[in-house]
Amino acid sequence: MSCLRDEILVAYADDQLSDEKRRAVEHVLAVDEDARMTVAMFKRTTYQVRRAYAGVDFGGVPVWFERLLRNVGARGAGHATSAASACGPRHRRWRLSTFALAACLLLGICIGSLMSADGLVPARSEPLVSIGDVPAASTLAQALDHVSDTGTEWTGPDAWRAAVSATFKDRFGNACREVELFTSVGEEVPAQLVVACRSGAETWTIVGAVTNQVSATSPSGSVIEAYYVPAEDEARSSLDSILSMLGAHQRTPATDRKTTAP
Amino acid sequence: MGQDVRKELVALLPRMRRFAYSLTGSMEEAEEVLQSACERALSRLDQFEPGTRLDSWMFQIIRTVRVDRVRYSVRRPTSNDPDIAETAAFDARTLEQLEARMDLDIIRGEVANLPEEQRAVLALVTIDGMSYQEAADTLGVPIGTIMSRLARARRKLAEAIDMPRPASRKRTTTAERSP
Repeated sequence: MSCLRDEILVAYADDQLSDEKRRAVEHVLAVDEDARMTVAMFKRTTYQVRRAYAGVDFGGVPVWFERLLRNVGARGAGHATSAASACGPRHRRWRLSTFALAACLLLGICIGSLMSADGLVPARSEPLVSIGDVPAASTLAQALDHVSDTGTEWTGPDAWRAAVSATFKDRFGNACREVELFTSVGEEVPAQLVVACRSGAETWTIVGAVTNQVSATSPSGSVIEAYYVPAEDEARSSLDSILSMLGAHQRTPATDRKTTAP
Repeated sequence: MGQDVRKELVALLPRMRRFAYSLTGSMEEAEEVLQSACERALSRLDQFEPGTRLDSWMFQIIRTVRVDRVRYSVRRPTSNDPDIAETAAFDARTLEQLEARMDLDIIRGEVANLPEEQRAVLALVTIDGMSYQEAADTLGVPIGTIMSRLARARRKLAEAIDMPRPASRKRTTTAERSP
């Protein structure tokens, strides 16, 4: 039996002792065969245990985790204190001119079905679409199919328009589109930017949406202008968080977009 | 801060899952523990102190969730994950590979049989690679407790792994297989 306790020997085997203690243990090991065997036994168990767990795949992001993050994102949006904090960094940022009231951007994430059976709700400064599956025969599905397959703008009833602003794949390989939705109210200012994904020929799912509260005039009667500008040094954004949750890959080059139809 | 933490959480998932698995011994239960822990963490993000280690904070939560589940007897009776065993058998190309996988299965089973406290220390230090001090901080115990639990766990494991097995689990040596 060794004169050194197991606690010391296991710490020696794991290289967790100070240099001074380590040297002291080595003096003992030089003359204590039991201690040497114990150290060897502890090292062997480390190797065996690590090997046993190294063969198991612990990777992958489960569906429940994605949902959880999305739910937290939605709740967090409710606590957003300002447009800047809610909609900071992203590839592009919303920029609204003069009027603070109109410059407020809403992170329009809300879990549930679409707000109408048709998939689009003609409301001025409320979310046009909500997160969830898009009914197969709806106007929104039609719009998403069109912009995805052709890469060109879609024009629907009541001057609704949709245009693809980015194409990418999420971490599961599903084809996704960033789509800008325009209404007659905002004219060239997108009323909403949505992220829609689908796998294979299945239905589209809206996985994220950022809503712009566009209105024709401010309370004082001035015309509100709002437009995109390239992202620069802002800290974070609602869309970035959506893309991050999705595990979005690099944008698909424009030349490949037609061939990567979902 | 919240978004950064969420990004870090995604990166931490494999380590958290491995820790949960080493505590539970079952992939299915590990996933349940991990899910509860993530829900708990994300609902209390404001309690996480920026600048401190997120992995330690998450491991603490995972351990608490696990302890709660054991306390309320939610634990499933499985100690070895059947999926892994089936996968091992299916994937094995040779008898030697099969035997090696059975050995690994035995080791995981023996880890699952360790007392809860010893298993947690083993998971953090031996499997995850934390230092003794980091493990002590994570579990909120003195470093001496880490050393003694680890020594007992590793000695117990060594004895259990070297113990002769029943015929169905016993390793077949080359000599025994020869005609």
